[in-house]
This record gives sequence, C-alpha cells and structure tokens, in this order.
Amino acid sequence: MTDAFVAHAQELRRGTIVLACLRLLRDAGYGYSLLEQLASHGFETDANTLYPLLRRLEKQGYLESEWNTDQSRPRKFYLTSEEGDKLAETLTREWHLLTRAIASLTEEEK
Amino acid sequence: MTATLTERYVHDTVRRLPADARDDVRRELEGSIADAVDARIEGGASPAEAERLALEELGDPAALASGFADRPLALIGPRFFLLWWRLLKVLLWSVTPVAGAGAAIGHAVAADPVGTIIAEAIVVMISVIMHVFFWTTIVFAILDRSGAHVATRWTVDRLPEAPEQQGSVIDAVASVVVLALIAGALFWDRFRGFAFLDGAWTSVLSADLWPWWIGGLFAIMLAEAVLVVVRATRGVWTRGFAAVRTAITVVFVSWIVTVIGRGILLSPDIGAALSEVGVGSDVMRILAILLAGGVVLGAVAAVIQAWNGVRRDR
Repeated sequence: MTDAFVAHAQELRRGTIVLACLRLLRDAGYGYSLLEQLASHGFETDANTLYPLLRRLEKQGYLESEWNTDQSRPRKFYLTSEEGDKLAETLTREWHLLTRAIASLTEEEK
Repeated sequence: MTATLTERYVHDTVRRLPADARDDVRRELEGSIADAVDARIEGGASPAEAERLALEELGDPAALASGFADRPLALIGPRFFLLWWRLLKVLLWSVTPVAGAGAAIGHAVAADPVGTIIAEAIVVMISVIMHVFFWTTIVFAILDRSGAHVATRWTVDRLPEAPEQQGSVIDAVASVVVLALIAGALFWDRFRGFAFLDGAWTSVLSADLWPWWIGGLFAIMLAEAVLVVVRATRGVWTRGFAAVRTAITVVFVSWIVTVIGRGILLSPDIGAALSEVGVGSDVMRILAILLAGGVVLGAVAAVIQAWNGVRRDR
C-alpha cells in the first residue's frame, strides 16, 4: 500500500479501536495485555494511542478501573461499565449498518 | 544514582499533567513500560536495548502527555481557525494603515523631516502588525482551550458578492456624475464664488490655480472618468486598467501635495479672513497635513481596490 492508501485505511480504522476495547474489556484487563490482545485480534494499535484512550473512556464513564497490587507489579485493571456496554451495542449496530451499506455499493456494480 | 531512561521518560510525561492525575498515570505508565520491556527481553533483546526501543515506540513524552490530558496538539483548532483568520485579516487591513497614517500625521505636524515621517510610520506599522498578530492569536488559543462555544453557523447571507456586481455600471455612472459636479463646483467658485466676504461672493480657491493648475486637475479628472467608463463596459479589472488607475492616482496625489505645499490652494482673501477669526497659520498647517494625509489614504485605497480587482477577475 502506498502512504496515501495507508493514511485512508488508518482513517477508516480509527473509531474501531474504541469498540474493540469495550468488547475486550468485558473481561478485566490492563494496558499492555490489552495492547497484545488487540494485536492478536487484528487491531494494530500504538501504545501511545491506546493508553490515553483508556483514560479518556474511563473519564467518560465507559470503563471502570481498579488497582490490583496482588502481583509483584501493581497494575491498573479496566472493566467495561454498563454504560460502556450500551455504547458498544450502539457502535456494533452502526458497524453492521455500514457493512450493509458498503456491500450494497459493490452489489450495484455487478 | 543516575535516573534510568524509564524514570526520566515517566517524569517528563507526568510533569505536564494536572497534579491530581500524576500519581495514577505514573504508576500505570511505569507498569506498562516494564511490561513492554519484559516482552522485548523475552523476544531476545538486551535489557538496555529493550528499554530504549519500548520508550521510542511510545514517542515524544509531550505528545503522550497531551493525549493523557486531552489537550489539543494545535494552537488553534478547526473550530476557531477560520474565525481567527478572518478577524486577523480585518484587523491587519484596518488597524495597520490607520496607525501608520496617525504616526505620519503626528510627525508631520511636529515638522519632522520627510525621512523621519516615513521611517516612524513604517516602525509603527510593523509593531502594530506584530501586536495584532500576537494578541489575536493568544485570545483564540485560550478560547480554543477553554472550550468556549461560539455560535457561528455559516449562512448564504455571508457569500461575497459576485465579481460582476462589484464596480458595476451604476458605480461608473455615479463616479462620472461626482466628477462632473466637482468640475461644475470649480467653475462656480471661479466665476461666482462660494465664500460670502464683505458683502460679496468670493472665490475660495486661489486665482493663481487658473488656468494651468486647474487645467491639469481637469485632465486628471477626465482621465479618471474615461477609465471608470471603459472599465465598466469591459466589466473586469485588467492589469492595464489597474496600471492606469495607479498612474492617475500618483499624478493626482502629486498635484494636491504640490498645491498644498506651495500654499497656493486657497485664495489670499480667504486666508486673511480665516486668520481674522483666529485660525492661525499653525492650525492651517495642521489642516493642510490632515487633508494631504486623507488624500494619500484615499489614493492608496483606490490603487489597492484596482489591483484586488485584477486578482479577483483573473
């Protein structure tokens, strides 16, 4: 892909990270583990994008957080809140609508 | 003990955050960096290299801190950019010439040499440009960061007029009528007089202006009238028209400045009558400077209008 294509693809992916986080964090997770989970699901995300995003979603009430100090390294665990679940539902619906809309574009060509 | 790279990185990020968020971000960021470093060491990197790579992947601490604090990475964001740009243009085009003219008039009244007048006017204009730029930008940067809301919905009423409606035939007719009225007034003043002194009508303008100076003025006015009419029939400003307008304007400014400078504008009777009622030569000098300043300002505006027209109609 050329640089211009990459830029457009990134633009398209931008909003999907939020949805992926809200879904993945229905099981509690911490920053770095989430980064790896996202990558393994095919959402390549930069750490410097994800960490601020987690705090922002927490501030907006879509994530809850708790410090876990049982392990040798204290970690901040995030969990999707009830409000976050509702947001994820809405975003998923929107995503399906978009998928259908885009499919309808390619069908017309045939 | 020297601080590790991670400590320096975390410190440089956290110090840019509001105090109440610092401890939380510090602990979380330290943990995240340690996780990333461990993962890289597991992947076979040396500890020092792993730390360096992990930190470089996180990037500039200032950018990361802006993300944490939800601060924009732009001085003026898209919400305010156009408003800022429009206001800046209006202020620069209005305040700068007025301030420059004010400084020039002030130094002219103080009878400073021409070089000083021009230099001071330029200095004042440069400092005005810098101040307008600085303060307008500061205000908008603060507005943008304070989350201020300005309702500026764009409506069609704000569309600029179409080029052909500016400087239309009506404007040309109006200009010619005004020029004709001025010519008529000049003749009236010469043969009947506008001032009523000692029981008789007297000319305001000096009789010395006739015939050559006034003849020159008529030639300038005729040239302007022809230009305005020809331009209106063509409907656009061309480089040629703008050059002619510039030439006419320069000649007119030289005419009026020379006439004022030689003190041959007003008739001696009028000068005597004015000084009788207390308008001394000092006041007359200041009035002359203001008149010349006003003419120069109007001339500059006319030339700018013409060249703007060229740019627009191209």
